[in-house]
Amino acid sequence: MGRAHLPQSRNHMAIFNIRKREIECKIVFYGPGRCGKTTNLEHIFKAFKRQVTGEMVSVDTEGDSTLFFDFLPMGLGKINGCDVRVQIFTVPGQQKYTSTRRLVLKGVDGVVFVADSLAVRREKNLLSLKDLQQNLKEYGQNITSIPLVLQYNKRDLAHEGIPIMSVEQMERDLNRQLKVKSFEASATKGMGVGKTLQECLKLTLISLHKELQWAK
Amino acid sequence: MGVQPVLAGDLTFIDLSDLLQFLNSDAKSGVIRLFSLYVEKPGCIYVLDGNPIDAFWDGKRGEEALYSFFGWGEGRFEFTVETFPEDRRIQKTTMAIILDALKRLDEGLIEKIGPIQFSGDKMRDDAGRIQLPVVRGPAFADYLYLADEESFKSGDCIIEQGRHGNWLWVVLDGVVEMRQKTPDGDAVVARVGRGAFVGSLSSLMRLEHPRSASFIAENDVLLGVIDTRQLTMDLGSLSSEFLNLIYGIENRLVMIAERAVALKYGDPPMGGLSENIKPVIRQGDRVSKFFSVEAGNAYIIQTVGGKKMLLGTLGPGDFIGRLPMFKHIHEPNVAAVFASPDLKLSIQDKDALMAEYETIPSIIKNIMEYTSVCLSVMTDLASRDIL
Repeated sequence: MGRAHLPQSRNHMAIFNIRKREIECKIVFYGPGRCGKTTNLEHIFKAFKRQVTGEMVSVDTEGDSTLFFDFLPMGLGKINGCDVRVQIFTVPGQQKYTSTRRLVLKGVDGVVFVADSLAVRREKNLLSLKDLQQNLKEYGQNITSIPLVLQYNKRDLAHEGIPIMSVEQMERDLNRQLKVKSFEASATKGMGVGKTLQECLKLTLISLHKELQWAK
Repeated sequence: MGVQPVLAGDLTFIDLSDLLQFLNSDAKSGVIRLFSLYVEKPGCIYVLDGNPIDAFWDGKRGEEALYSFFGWGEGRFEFTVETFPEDRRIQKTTMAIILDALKRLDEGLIEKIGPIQFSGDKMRDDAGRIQLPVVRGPAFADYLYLADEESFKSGDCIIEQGRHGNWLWVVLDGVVEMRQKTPDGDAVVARVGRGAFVGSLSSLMRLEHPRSASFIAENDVLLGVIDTRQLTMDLGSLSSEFLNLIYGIENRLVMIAERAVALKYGDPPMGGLSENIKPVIRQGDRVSKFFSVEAGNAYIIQTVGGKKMLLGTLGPGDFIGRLPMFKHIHEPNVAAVFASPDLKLSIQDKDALMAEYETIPSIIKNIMEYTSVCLSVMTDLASRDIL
């Protein structure tokens, strides 16, 4: 069928499209409802317009919209002579969207966990991270081995006098065991969004590269 | 027609969103046809350069038809490369269709079609009460077998356990409860809906066959009365081996219903079975032979999380093993078979049984399919002890 799956050593599902000489992988933005996943994607879609192929799909799911678009990252080079095409998704937070979650998380290659800096959302962040861990497990993945980046969003709200958590506290809450890279961001202003995505792309491609080396 | 499919498969293995994504990533053009036992008519999707541009099913067209296919929990697909009208009635991209359809499915806006209809995602509601799923039968299209229609109001008794009778109905609309007598009154062991059969083939062929369960209308129910004269003639033309197969699967349904009730009322998990039993088929084994029990007993035993549980006891006339048409039978996938010291088995000709299956009237196939689905749902209830 002109297409082969990468070795399943870690349940990677990145797909070779030999005819188009493309490797297709999937990055998912995860996080509690209203944490700014959608705003992240909207910013990427606008700011990196030239790397986006096709339109943005937005589905109005309860709590948060579910977004999707195709992205051709530039300046990352080729893997085994193939271009890399990235499908970027957000996951609907509401429990009832099991079919959507299954589709989005099936074969995910990299995850950005967007945490809400608002002090009142502390509990929500913790629950959502736990939820991510469980969902990944359900689809045969492990939160400690999948390329993962944390983003502490809404840092700008401090200037408006709204109580937010310190980065140290968020690190303690969410990153004590994971020990992954984390970024401060303000998705509404576009601050930190690009960096978060770049890091996640980098980790994802390194991981793909490693799997290809093993496959040889 | 005459166009050979270039790709075909089972929707429970490759679902529609996987299929559409695959065709999309390679920009394929052609026609997807969808078939399911649980719908009367097949569906059809035109795919141009990887994007669905039109779809048809049951009087629906375009997006409406395409979305409804996402509710098919069971069925087959075939993809053929052939020409078709290239009018683009569906404008959305593949991923927009998929994400929108799955959202609608999760919000309950797309009707789920298939043998088992859960009211939620789980067997229990938020208050912890049991919410048994509704078991359906294949879409009923054997109108030649329909002698009459009968309506029942909520609470009406259709069949009473222990009474004799050989009427057989198919549910045309509504939900019927299957109940078993217990020390505390009746317990609902299954809820059955459209396409399900009320009554059994065994009761047609075996005189003095008391009804093994009561059937009560849960809401307003419309039943089709099956012309048993025609059906009895059909059964009469089957081989005795095949008839035993039918009795065997119906008997297992009775067995599991009784066992589920016994477990609920404190029967020990192994039902006081002696240690003097030997495995015939282990859980998870590959089984190629198919047996009939000639003498002695065989015990269906399930192991979950290291704990053993007796699901029921089989005797002479019952079968052991697996045939391809029973997707939902116990051994070897979900249970093992153990033998009493005096068990005697005879090997059955699987190929002959399968060949005969291909020739039997579709109504008998449908009864067998429904019984096997019902059996799997009730096994799940019994083994999780959630009656």
